[in-house]
Amino acid sequence: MTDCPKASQITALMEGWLEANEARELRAHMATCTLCQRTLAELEAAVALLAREAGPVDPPAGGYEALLESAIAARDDVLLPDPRRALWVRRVAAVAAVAILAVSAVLLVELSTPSPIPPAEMAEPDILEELIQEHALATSHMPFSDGSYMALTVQSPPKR
Amino acid sequence: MDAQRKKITSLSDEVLVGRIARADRAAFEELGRRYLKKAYSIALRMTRNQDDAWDLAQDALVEIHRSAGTFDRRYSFSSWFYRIVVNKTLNFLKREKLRSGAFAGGMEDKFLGAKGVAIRGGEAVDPEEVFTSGTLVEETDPERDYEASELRHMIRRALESLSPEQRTVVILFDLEGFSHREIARIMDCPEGTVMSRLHYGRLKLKEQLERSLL
Repeated sequence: MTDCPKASQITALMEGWLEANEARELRAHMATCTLCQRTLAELEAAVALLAREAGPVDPPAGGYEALLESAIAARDDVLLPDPRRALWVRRVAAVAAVAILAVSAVLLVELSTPSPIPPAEMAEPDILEELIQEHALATSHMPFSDGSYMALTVQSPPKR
Repeated sequence: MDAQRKKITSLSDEVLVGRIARADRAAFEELGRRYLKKAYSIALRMTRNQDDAWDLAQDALVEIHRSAGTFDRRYSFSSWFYRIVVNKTLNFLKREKLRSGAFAGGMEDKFLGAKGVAIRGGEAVDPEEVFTSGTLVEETDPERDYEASELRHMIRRALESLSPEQRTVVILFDLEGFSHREIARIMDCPEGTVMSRLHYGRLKLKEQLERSLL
């Protein structure tokens, strides 16, 4: 290896993350490269300083037992519904039930009342007459069909 | 230790999560005993605030109760739990950043001021131990005390200068002792990303410390 390695390779070497052959090559390069030697030395110094921060932190006020008790109480709160919230939910449910009943009653009354508008399927008398005439004229060429008689009545209505 | 407690301590994390999904309080308590200390430590190192760390550790534990039913037993419980801790803390820090306008810049350093740094024979020791042993006055060197306190303060300030992701990796690897594989699982990212964040995080840390020390 002649060129300097990627900077993160030096950290990988420090932490023993490189394969044996990669580590061997990098060490060979570093033996002659003052830039890489300096980077390694600086990283080692940073890690040594950080080590002073390592170790246990101060326990919380009241100790870990108090923290655990607090977490258990918080878990119990999640598990058991809040009585105030339960009351609120019951009130909302009651209002919703009343609203549904009211809407149902209105719909029931509405459907049972006869509608003043004539049903759409009832044809107007003029249209019916027009349909009969069309049918009669369309079948008038057939001498024995009812249409032939009907066509006569349509073409020349009976005289009074 | 009574028989029931002895029995529950012998159960694996994964079995306990299954019990928590069925609202088992004792299983919840047992997992809390196993993991709350570490959760608090991670949250405290990341936020540097005892009250925030308390809330985040507690929330993370309660989240186990909420999400126990969705836990995939093919994966390790510890990675899953620490992922919850880290994600909650990162989200908290983002909210704080939005609120204050600067990443943790305005946060009070309660962590540093809690009990100060105790030194015995030139080494930092657990202040709790020193207070209880009654040897604080005899073995404390005020000058060394001050230097150590200054150095720790500088290290914390330098850690603050890192991006949240770099800081998380440096804290988990260099301070909490997780492996890069565990961190990749916790942060849900490739191992190469962890290595890269660690490297550039340390480099930036070194630059910040150099500036502070010169």
